[in-house]
Amino acid sequence: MSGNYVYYLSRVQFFAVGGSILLILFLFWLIRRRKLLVEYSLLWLAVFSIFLVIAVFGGLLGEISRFFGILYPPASLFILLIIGIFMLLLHYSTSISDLKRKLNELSLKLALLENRTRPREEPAAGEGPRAGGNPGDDAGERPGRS
Amino acid sequence: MRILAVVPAYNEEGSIVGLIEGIKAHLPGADILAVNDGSTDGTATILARTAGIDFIDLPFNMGVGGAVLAGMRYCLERGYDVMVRLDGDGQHPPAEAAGLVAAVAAGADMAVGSRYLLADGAYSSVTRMMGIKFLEGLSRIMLGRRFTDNTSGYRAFSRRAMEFLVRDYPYDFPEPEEIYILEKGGLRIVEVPVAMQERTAGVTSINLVRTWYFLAKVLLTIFIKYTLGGRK
Repeated sequence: MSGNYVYYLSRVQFFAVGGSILLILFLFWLIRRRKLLVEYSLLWLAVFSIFLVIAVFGGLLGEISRFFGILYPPASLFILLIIGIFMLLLHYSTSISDLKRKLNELSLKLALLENRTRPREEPAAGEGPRAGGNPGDDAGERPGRS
Repeated sequence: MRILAVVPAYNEEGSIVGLIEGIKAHLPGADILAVNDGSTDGTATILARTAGIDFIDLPFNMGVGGAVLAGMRYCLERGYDVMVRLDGDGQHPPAEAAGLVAAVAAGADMAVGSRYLLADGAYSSVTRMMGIKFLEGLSRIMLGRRFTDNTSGYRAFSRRAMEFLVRDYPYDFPEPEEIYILEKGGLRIVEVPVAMQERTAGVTSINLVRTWYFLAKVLLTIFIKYTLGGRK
């Protein structure tokens, strides 16, 4: 009976170790294929490595559970998993915020540049705004785009 | 003194021309810059054909803050002294612009047009009144000064205020935060009573979800940025 139990655990262990190693290899493959920047892989690598360590040292999960007072050891696995996912998501939120900030900045620069370089019909005005006071209808004032 | 009237416009093909004509009539000394904020209607085409104005075409809809920020950077690049913002939906009557510009010319860094300083400045709905009153109370607690119309976008800015604001300008609902940035930065803000109009065409961008998003965002911004040490 207890022999059966040990057999079952090691079978889980086999799949857990194998799965973790496969995930880490997949990560490396993505980096080599330039589908993933190294700086974005670090957090994933950390999460997968934790799984690998837990899988290799079968008793570790029990120790962690005891330390935190979790009665059902697999639950601590889920907690670790969820914390890992949360950290990854938060990391993405910061990355997206950073991207959005840069995109906005780029777009503004582009729009201002486009305004500056747009061909204008008025002859000598060139740089700078027109002098105030004549907002009238003379055709030369038309800042057309074409 | 060189004045620029900035008109942020998002899908305002129905009201933009009238507004620009109004600005030309009421602020004859000012240049006009329209900022098309990624409109999906004919706004861009209309602006390109309008004589006597300059325009900026944002590549996508960035939010009114993005359009205002583009206007401020245009002002700074080209050496304008005062910028006055009049929204493309026509709720800011050009007749009031001169008063805002005059307040800045008289030494203020930002002049905020307030609907509620007027005797007949009625609130358009109960929820809006609650929101406005809430922000008014908040400004009193956080800034020690009561601003009656935190959400008004009808404002004029000095060059100094623009230099201050472009450093970190909010793209979405910038109005309340503008007050906090400048007031905490020690710049001079005045409120000027103005009459505003209901929009002349198009649809408002404020609905219930956006209202709550707006309040949450403003509150979070104010608490994170302007309490607990805050920023300079």
